[in-house]
Amino acid sequence: MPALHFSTDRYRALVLGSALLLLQGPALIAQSPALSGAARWADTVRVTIERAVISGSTSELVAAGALAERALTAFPNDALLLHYRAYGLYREAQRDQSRGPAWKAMTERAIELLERSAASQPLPETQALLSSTLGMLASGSMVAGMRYGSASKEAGAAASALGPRNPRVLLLAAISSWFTPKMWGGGEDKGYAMMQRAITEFANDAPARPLPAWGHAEAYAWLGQMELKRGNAAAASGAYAKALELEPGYAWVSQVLMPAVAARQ
Amino acid sequence: MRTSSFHSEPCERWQWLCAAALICTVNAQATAQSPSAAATTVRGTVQLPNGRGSGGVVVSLLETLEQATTDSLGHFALRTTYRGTATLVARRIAYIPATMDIAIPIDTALLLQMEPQPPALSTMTVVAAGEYTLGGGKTASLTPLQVVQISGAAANIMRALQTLPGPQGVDEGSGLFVRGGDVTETRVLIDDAWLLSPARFDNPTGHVTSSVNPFLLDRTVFSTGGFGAQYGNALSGLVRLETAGRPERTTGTATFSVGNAGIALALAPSARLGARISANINDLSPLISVFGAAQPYDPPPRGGDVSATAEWKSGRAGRVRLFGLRQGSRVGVGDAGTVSGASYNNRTVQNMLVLSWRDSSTRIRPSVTVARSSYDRREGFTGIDLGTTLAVTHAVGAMAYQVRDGLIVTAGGDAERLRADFSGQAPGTPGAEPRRLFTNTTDADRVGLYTDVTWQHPRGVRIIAGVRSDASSLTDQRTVDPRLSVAWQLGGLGLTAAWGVQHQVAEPVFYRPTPATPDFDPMRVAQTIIGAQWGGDSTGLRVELYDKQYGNLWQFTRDFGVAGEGRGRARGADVLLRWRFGASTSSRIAWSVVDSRRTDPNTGQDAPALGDVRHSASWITDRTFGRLTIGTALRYATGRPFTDVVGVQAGAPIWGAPNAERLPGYTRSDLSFSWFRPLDGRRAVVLWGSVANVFNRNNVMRYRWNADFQERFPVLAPFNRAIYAGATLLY
Repeated sequence: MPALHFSTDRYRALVLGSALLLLQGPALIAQSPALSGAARWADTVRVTIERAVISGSTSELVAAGALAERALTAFPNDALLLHYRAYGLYREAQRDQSRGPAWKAMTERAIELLERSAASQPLPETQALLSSTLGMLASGSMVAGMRYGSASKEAGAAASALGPRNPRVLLLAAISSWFTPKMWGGGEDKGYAMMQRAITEFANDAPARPLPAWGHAEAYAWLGQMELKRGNAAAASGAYAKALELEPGYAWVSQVLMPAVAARQ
Repeated sequence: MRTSSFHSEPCERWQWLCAAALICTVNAQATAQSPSAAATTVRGTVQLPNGRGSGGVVVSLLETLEQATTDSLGHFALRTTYRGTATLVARRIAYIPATMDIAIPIDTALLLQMEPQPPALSTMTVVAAGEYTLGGGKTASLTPLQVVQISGAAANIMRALQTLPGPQGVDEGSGLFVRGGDVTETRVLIDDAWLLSPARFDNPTGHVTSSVNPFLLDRTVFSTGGFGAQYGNALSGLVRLETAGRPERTTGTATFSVGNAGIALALAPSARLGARISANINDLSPLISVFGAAQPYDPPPRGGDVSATAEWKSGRAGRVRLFGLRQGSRVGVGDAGTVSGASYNNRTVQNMLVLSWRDSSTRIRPSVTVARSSYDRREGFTGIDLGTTLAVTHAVGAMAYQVRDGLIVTAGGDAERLRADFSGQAPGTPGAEPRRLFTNTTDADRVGLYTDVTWQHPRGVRIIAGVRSDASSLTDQRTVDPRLSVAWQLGGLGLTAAWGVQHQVAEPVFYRPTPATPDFDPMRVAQTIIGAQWGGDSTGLRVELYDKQYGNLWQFTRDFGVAGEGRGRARGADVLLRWRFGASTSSRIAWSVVDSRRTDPNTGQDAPALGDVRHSASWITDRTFGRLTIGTALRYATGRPFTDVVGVQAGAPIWGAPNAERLPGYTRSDLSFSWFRPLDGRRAVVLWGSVANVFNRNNVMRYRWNADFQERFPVLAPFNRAIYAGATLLY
């Protein structure tokens, strides 16, 4: 009964999120002494989402979302808070394989928030996330592809124009290319080359808080998968090791990707 | 984008246990920090912009959500056990939340000042009165792909537009008779430049196809009335074709079908530069030889075209685009005249070059278009050779300025210089020179200026008010056209209204500068539209009512004389219903009702107009089965009016009351399919086909008579039932 399973997960995530907020919310906020107002809250949400992504915890993602929603009641038009709320939803949508009505509502809310954020402060990451989220919707069916495909491309082009060397833009574009057939402008070779570029750019990436700073370890996690698909198991292991060096608690790499390489070897 | 599935059940169980522990810890902390032991009070005042204290404002700590309410003087006292940096928030309806970072405990009185919430502009999805869009965008009715897939439209944009409400089903051609108007009253623009001849293979039963490949277009906006002050010299309808921009990658297509072959390339050599090239040749002889034709074609339609677009991205939101088009065609039909045996043939060549620049990166948004077009047609009709050569240079410029959110002021203008050459000659006896019947050269300049203001109220009201003025060397007059358009969105319901005056200079072929002819006044129409819309692209209903009052109409008499100073009116309703069944089936019904009358050019009497087709309806349905898409189209129109012969006197016909009779009703059914199959990661093939006129219905387009006008014969629609198939290779 997948629906019941999902509801139970959701309930557990909400309880966990509330508990984490009660205890850690003030502490997390206090960890941003140099920032004030909306920026302080945005940085807190940013850190909470990243912690959730690295630990692989859906409930922590939901908790981060609750934190962002709370902050948005005080700063309803803050571009970064809107961005991070959408980013949290994007990460949740990535993990929800059901592709059901709740997933669609989540992605559509993320798109609405990203569009509002982009209208207020055009960040390359906002356009890149918009492109990826629209791309997720476009992959649903041929009709959805016709409806969302061109908008996804436009947002991708806007992201590249705003941040041609932004590593997160390159990372999302590389993943998109990897899964896009050659005839539609993608291809695995193109995705692989773009991922290499993203990793090169991550080496010089030092965004000021509270701007987006995610993706460095994730780039190695995707590179590892690409290497594995290309038959380079050793290179894949190396990429995963690099990802864990950057984020030792990266559960996706340590619990899913690394064991997959080991099983193949 | 996909991601690997990752479930960390052990981790979740661990967190579940931790949560219980955390809640216990929090409870313990709460017990330890009881209000009596550690509570402190945060005090302050909340003020409105006028400096007065505001009562009833909720003040809270964002971290703990502890809250207090201000008294009538705006004072508050909030008790909390929280320690450290916190965000204090004051909220009141219609005001922006006031926030302040504070360190608790705090012993100073705080002052929070509230600012009124600026009303947010609501998203307007309601479409302007009379306007329909083909292509991208939230209000799109059809995409370019759907244009190609519409059964019976034969990838013809104009035929696709005929499936929307507004045009009357006068014949099987590409001409747009909009809301009771004549086909010559619809102006077609490419990137704002005038396209001289939007149809190809024109003949007395209509035009076979349109000039522009739909895949070279980004979107098409069809205005059946109520268009803004930006657009002049169009009386009834306006079709705005916007060419496709810079491709993001290099691709190509090759298409082969019965009677047609074509290639198209999209080139993306750099991030800023792109190009599109398309070439097609077509010859309907094989199709006609297999399935036959209701009309005796001689020669069957054949032709070719080459078109190209080059675009350079000039900035973040700017581009320079060059579009070029060259096409030629040839067609001939028998039974083309009023009397049996009259044949008609023509050979046409059209060229067009459009250079346009747009930039919307700042609050000032300029747009400039310069175009040069030519059109040459050689016709043979019952032993007379007719020649028409048109050449136009058209320049369009506009500057839009966004004064503030919701307020845009635009000013611009256009200028065109048209030269029209007409000639007629009769072939002489063998060995002798042809006998020249007439020649005429007309130069016509027109200059138009306009300004309009778009104002959008936050509560969902949008008003566009503008005025334009045109001066033409042919009419030697300056016209002034006020235009007003209002849209009001109430949730899912949209109400629209438009009123305006439009003028159009009649085509130069009507211009006979002799003392006997009246002044060449510009044609005029004043129209009013009201409408309602509900729903969106997939499911929705749209209804519009209109009234048009015409003046100074110029028309041809039966023997190609010219009659001016005509009057007329048209009233009607247009309905569009769209709905979707699940994700794979969509359907729409367009229904137009019109009552159109205008002065008969032969008698001067008030009579039904040619476009007085009382009911026109189309029902289009598409269903996808994975990679297979099947479409059906049903079209129906009541018969259009015609003038019958009621007797013969001295060998000449006696014509009855003008347009008092009606042709039989028109019905046609079409079926189409397309099947997409990827060949590998880079290539794919699309197999497509259609069954045109499925039930082989012989629709009557008009009548002809024998030489002594004693017997009447129907002239049928050109095509019998035909099966048409082809393949497109994508790479």
